[in-house]
Amino acid sequence: MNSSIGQGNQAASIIRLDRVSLRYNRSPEVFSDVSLSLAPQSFTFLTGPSGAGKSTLLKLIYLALAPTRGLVEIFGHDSQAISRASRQDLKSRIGVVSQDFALIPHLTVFENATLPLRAVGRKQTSYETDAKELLSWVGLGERLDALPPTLSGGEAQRVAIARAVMNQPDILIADEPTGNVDPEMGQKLLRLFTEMNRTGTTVLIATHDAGLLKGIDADLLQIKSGAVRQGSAL
Amino acid sequence: MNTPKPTPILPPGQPEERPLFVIMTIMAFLAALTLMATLLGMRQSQSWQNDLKSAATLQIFTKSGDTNESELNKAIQLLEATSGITSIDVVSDQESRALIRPWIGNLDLPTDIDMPSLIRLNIDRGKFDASALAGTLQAEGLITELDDHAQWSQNLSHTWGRVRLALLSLLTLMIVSTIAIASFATQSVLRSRKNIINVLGQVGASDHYIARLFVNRFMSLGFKAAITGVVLAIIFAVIFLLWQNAGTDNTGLKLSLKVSDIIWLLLLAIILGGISALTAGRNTLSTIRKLPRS
Ligand SMILES: Nc1ncnc2c1ncn2[C@@H]1O[C@H](COP(=O)(O)OP(=O)(O)OP(=O)(O)O)[C@@H](O)[C@H]1O
Ligand SMILES: [Mg+2]
Repeated sequence: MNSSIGQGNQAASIIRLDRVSLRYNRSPEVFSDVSLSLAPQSFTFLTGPSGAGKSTLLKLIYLALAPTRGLVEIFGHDSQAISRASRQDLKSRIGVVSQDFALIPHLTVFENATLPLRAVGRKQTSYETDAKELLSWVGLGERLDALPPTLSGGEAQRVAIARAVMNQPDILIADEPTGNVDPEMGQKLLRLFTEMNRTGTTVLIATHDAGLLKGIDADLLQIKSGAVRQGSAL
Repeated sequence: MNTPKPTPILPPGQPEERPLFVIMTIMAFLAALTLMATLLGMRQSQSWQNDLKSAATLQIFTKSGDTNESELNKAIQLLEATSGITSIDVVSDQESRALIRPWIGNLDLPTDIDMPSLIRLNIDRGKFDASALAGTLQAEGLITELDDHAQWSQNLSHTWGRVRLALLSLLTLMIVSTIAIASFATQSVLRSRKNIINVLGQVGASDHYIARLFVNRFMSLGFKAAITGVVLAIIFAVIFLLWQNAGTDNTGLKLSLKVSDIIWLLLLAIILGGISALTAGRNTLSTIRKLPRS
């Protein structure tokens, strides 16, 4: 299962794609033969034009999509070769902020944000204080009992972010996490991500927000016309 | 958090649940009635069998000229000497006439029509030898007919066997229907909760965690429906039995429920509830395992 061990360079990557192609149903491939590798504790921005396949690439990495061809290796495990149960274990170590937030409409802000803990059987008393603190920090302290349909776009986005970081994942993947908030909140959320990165989390963020890229020492992945280029940020 | 109890992850009281509850209640009601009919029938047939087993009837026909009385006395003497007979009960002339009244209507037979004398015997099947007794009676010159109800008993047991088979088939059919309904309902809830399942999958919930949500939901729904159906069936049965028993005299059928019946019915409710939960769990697991990753 741990096929990357002993293969030199590759063992150092926490996320590795090898000649991965993906197509939805019968449509043409969104990208073909993409290879990339991200080191543990790296901080990477994924950029590219709308429709280039950023969300699709992230879904492959957070294991919501299976590749049409090629190898997707997360934590050194071939995502296609492992059992469903092991894949769920890997997923619980990946925090995800999807572009559509994916909140459960009848659960409160607090319950949505703490779902990753509840879903692995943790007792509410064991995380209640920390969870409330985190939610206050992202500016949702007064909205704990609100339901998602009553939230603004920015509030919903922050619930999704709080949920993604709630169980201190080893990998954090965020798809346009600052798309709906003002620049000030954008900078604050970015601080949350850099702080998590500093304490050991590998961070991968898709964004068109040029402001976000400025003044931060991050790796850069650019996706365009079905190809991915790996480089360094400005 | 003001709410001490977390909101269920699967929202309760969904629109699909009311018709589901009604259908499952009706299935439980029908299954409970069928089970009660089986239990009552079993008991009634058993009690008839026992009556028939321990009873025999001897008819003595009058030979013209002889007095009925002397033949009757002779017969009684012989019967008293026969082993395996525990009691001898001579049916009075009046009672004999009453017995045939249902067949001839409410006419009084003219008193000069001779009625055969009737003797009811309580017998011990193990020691009683019907053909030996018949031989003895014949040797003494009596014209008699001894009926030990063997034919009746056999007919009754055949008929009941077939009725019971039919009832148990019905019960099986209802249990199978309950499984089908629960599985159909699970599929429907799974479809309408696809988003929730995807979110749970994304945050790393195991298949079993997700299946358990459905098991719990359908277990409580299934038990509520099963208990409601069974209680309605008991109420229905009690009313029916009161009505049936009120309309019959002593010779008619007296039926009643027993505590053991209630225990069987509760067991049925538990089985139906358990079946719903189990079906929900199995269906959820097999469905989410087939779900494409997207
Ligand atoms: N579920 C789907 N079924 C079919 N095609 C899809 C699906 N999701 C995305 N696509 C297509 O795949 C391509 C890449 O989409 P994707 O959402 O990955 O782009 P993106 O780079 O995230 O765009 P944006 O910046 O607008 O979010 C697009 O052409 C899109 O139409
Ligand atoms: Mg996108």
